[in-house]
Order: sequence, then C-alpha cells, then structure tokens
Amino acid sequence: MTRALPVALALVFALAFLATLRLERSLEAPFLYPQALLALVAALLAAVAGLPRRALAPIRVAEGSGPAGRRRALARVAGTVLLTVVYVEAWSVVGYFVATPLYGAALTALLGERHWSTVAALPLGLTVLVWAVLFEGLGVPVPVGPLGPY
Amino acid sequence: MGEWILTGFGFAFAPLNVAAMTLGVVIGMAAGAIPGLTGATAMTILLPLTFAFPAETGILFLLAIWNAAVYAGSIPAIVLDIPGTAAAASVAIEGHEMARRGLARRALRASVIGSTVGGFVSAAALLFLSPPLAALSLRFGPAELFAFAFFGMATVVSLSSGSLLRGLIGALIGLLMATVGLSPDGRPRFVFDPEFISGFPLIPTLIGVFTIPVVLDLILEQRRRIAVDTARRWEKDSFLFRAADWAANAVNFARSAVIGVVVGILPGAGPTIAGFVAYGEARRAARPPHEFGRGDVRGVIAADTANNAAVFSSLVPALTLGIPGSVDAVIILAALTMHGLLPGPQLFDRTPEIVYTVFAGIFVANALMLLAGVTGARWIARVTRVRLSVLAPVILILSLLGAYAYHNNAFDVALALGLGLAAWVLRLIGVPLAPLILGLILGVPLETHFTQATTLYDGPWAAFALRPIALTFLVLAMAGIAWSLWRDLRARRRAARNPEEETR
Repeated sequence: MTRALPVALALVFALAFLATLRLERSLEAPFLYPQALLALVAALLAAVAGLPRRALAPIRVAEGSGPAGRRRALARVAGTVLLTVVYVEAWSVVGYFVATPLYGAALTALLGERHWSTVAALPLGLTVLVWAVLFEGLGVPVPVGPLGPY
Repeated sequence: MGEWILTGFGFAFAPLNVAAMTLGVVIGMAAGAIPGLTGATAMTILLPLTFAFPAETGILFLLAIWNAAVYAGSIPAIVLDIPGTAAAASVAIEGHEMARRGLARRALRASVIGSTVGGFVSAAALLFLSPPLAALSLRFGPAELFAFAFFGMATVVSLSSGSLLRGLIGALIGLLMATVGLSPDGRPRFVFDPEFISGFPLIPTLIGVFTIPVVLDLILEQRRRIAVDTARRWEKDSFLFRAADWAANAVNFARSAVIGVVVGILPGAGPTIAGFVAYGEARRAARPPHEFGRGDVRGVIAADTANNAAVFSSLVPALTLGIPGSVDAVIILAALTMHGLLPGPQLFDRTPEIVYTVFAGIFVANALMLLAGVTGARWIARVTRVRLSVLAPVILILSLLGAYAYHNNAFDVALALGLGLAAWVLRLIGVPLAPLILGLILGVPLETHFTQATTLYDGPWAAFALRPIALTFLVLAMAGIAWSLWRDLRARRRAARNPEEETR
C-alpha cells in the first residue's frame, strides 16, 4: 500500500471537519462531539500515513503475481463494482428477474469462469431459486421495472 | 422460569423451527468452512429474509448459522491448515498437525464434540444467567450503562488485529456514523436526506460493511479456488465413542467450557480469544506436555470447546443490557429489533415464550450441529474448493436483494454498495471493521447515557468517579487500552531491532 491512500482519507476527513464548522453556524445543532471525532480520525489517518513502510498493510494480491498481476486484480475489482452498479440501475429498467441472470453471467465470466455451461447455468439456477423460494415461497419483495419484477 | 423452559422446549421442536435450524446449520457449516467467509457474513446476507418467519424461528435460524460457522471454521483449519474463521486459528495449531500424521478423523471428531459440549454449556449459561442479570440491570443507571458500553468498545479496539491505531480509527468512524440522525436533545444532525433521520439503516449498513468488502478482497487476492484439500486419509477411529476417552478429557472439557463462557460474557472478547486462552491453559496443564505442538488432541478439544462456549454466552450482555459485545451479537440484536423486540428486562417479562423458545432451541441447534459434524465434516471440507467465479455472484446477488428487501427501496441498495466500497478502502489500509460496526451500534447509547449521566449527577466527576461500578468498568477499559498500546510499542521496538525477521 502506498501512503497516498491514508493521506487522501485524512484529507477527506479534514475537509469534512471544515465543512461542519460552516454547518454549525447554519443549523445550530450540537456538533462539538462529531467535530472532535472528525478531527481525531483525520489526525489518526495522518499518523497511519506516517508509519514506517513495513507497518503499512500490504495489498493482498495472489502470491508471485507481480505488478502486472496486481493491475489485473484491481481491474477485476473495478469491473465487478461497475457491473454491480449497472445491475442495480437495471432493476428499474428491466426488472429483477431479467437483470439478475445477465449480471450473474457477466460477473461469472469476468471472474475467469471458462465453462460456458457454468456461466449460463449458475445465474439462471440462482434466479430460479430466488424466484421460487424467496419471492413466491417466502414473499420476499424484489425490485420491479416497468414490466413488473420480470 | 421452569415452566417457561418446558414451554420453550415444546415450541423449539415445532417442525418450522427444527427445519429453520437444520437449514441454518447447513448454511453455517458451509460459510464457516469457506476461508474468507464467516458466520457474520452469512447471517448478514440472510438477516432481511428472516422477516418472513415468526421472531423465534428467524432468530433460531441465525443462531444456528452462527454456532455452526464457529465450529465449521475448524474443518479447513484441521484439514488444510487454513482457519475458516478467526475463532478456528487456535484449533489449527494441533488440529492440522494431527491431520498431517493421518489423524484427521480423530481431530475432526474432537472438534465437533468439543464444539457441541461448549455450545451446550454456553446455552445453559445463557438460560440461567440471563434472567437474573436482566433483573440486576434495572439497578444500572446511565453512568453504569455508559461505562459498560465504553468498556466493550475499548476491549474490541484493544484486541483488534493489526494495531491499536487502526482499531481506534475503525471505532471512531463507527461513532461518527452514529452521530447521523437526531442528537440526544432531539435536533437533527447530518440529516441530508430524510432516509437518515433515524441514522444509518442497520441492515443495509451491515450488508455493505460485511459482505461487499469480503467479495472484493477475494477478487483482489485472485483466489480461483478458495483452497485445495491436502489431507486425504480418512482412517477409522473410535475416539470419544469410548467412556475412557471422556474420562481422560473431562477436566479439559470442563475447564475450557468455563473459560469460554467467562470470556464470552465479557463484551468485545469473544470466541477467538476464548479459543487461545483455553488452548494455552490446556497446554500449561498437560501431563506430559511434550505432545503439544506435534498434534495433540487435547489442544483441539480445548480450543473448540472454548470458542463455541463463547458464542451464546456473548449474548448475555446483549440481551440483558442491550450492549452487544461482538458483531454477531449485533446481528442478533438487529434481528430482535426487526421483529419489534427490545433487549433488557422487558424482553423477559413481556415475551417469555419467545425468549425461552430461543434458549431451548439453542440446545436443539447444537444437537443438529453434532449430527451434521459427525456425519458430514468430510463432505463439508469440500466446499473450500468452490470456485470464486461461482461464490462471488451468489454472495453479491443475495446481499443486494437483502438490502432491497429491508425497506423495499433502491436507496438502501445504493447505500449498501457505497458503504461496502468505503469499508473495503478502509480494509486496504488495515482498518478492522468490527470496531466500526460496534462504534455505530454503541455510538447512540454512549452519547445518550453520557449526556444523561452528566446532567443527572451534576458533571462527569460525580457521574463516573464516585460510582463504583461505573468507575470499575472505566478503569478496566483504560487498562485494556494501555496494555494494547504497550503491546504495539513493544512489537514496534522488536521490529526495529530485527527488521529482516518482520518482513519475512
């Protein structure tokens, strides 16, 4: 891990602290306690950034994968996050039971699944399970789109 | 009370409850056996789904998951030398050595029977200690409640893996998140959206903090398969099927169970600490001691008995004072609240049929776990070979649905995702998430009780220094933090002296 991450987080908390100074004037709510917490968190994050290199938590990528492997792993994480955001947005467009198998298949493939039977069958099976057990069986609500949950 | 216990056992054997606990045991064993997942992850994913059940059924389902996950963490610890959960780390020391010597079956049997004994003793402690402690809690004023909650927070921070500094950051961020909503005097604070008027919604927050970072970590570590089975010998062994084995290990079972119960009741300690303390005591008391470290079954019995004995006893402060000592207890409290039940004496007075059904059901859940462990440990070990490309979509799809199902709105899902990403970033810099969640849960009672105590007793000196119970907990909390600080400084000095050893 580089020092950039704790430094960036410390800055975020320091800026939030400064923002609460303005809020306090406009809202008159009791802000002293959260302000103290914000300042402390910012200071402690700055202290983490100042730790010796060996005390910084290493990013745990696969053993022996090197810088290229690390980049690939981070790209997969970013891809997963992006797919997940699109999936949640898609609920209101196509409904849960259309979005779920598509998302499941895309994510399964992104994570390195090479058997197309698994890429297709796992998300479909999971969607059917959610529909039969949770939605129909237990009455758990699912997101609906213009055509309903389907 | 005796009448309620009998009624509780009657209800606990209702087909729906037994079915829910059986399912919970299976899910808990799978979650505990997969390194990277925990009982808390599984409980969080499935928590919103318990809406569909009666209160006692939903809570028994979650408790069965928790108990089975703590036990099942020992299966990969023994077979693969990879603890499925942190609580199983103490089991791996002797358990895996036994597996390497071809004694995997003996170690697994000692593990499941130790876990069951610990679970039964823990359930008995919960059954018999909770009602009198709930009555005693009526004598706790705001000063004592603040001090007890502070003690719990301090213990979690000082025992958090990594360092005191990072544990403190996690706890403070949790406390900060708890300031969102209404302040103790009823004025809104950081309420930028009406959804936040009651603070962060608990279920989406738990889902975000506990499931999403776990999946992202697994992807980052690029684990194609979670682990590979290396212990393939499954020899016949009748260990602990004979009375002589029980007689030889009776003291070990009893000592470890008592250690587990006591450590479990202390807020913030929990199964991991209990396992190591009991293992250390078993090793110290062993005659002859030389087998320890080379695969001694007494070490497996001690660690597994104690870590499961700490499971249900850690619910004692949660149910009686409303102060959870662990993340798992937070999830159980959340389930209680979801079903309109509030911890404290009123829980025992107003809904005894639910409380005693849950208490009785814990015994049944333990028996189911024993059955599943004796017959299925070998097969459960295979779930560790599940591919990440299969596991990650299942976890994410069920988690996001759980966040949605909480209030039927997409806002909670977006919140869970956002908090999940933020929590993952914190994990990247080594900040543990358990103190964060406890800070979030305990933040409101800490601030409220502190405000009430200082108002009621005219300032902090009279509120805390002159009240012996409150003062005791505060002194213990400070001592814990001081010890942790000393431990960190000593480790840093040692690292500075031997840098090569540390980086190896």
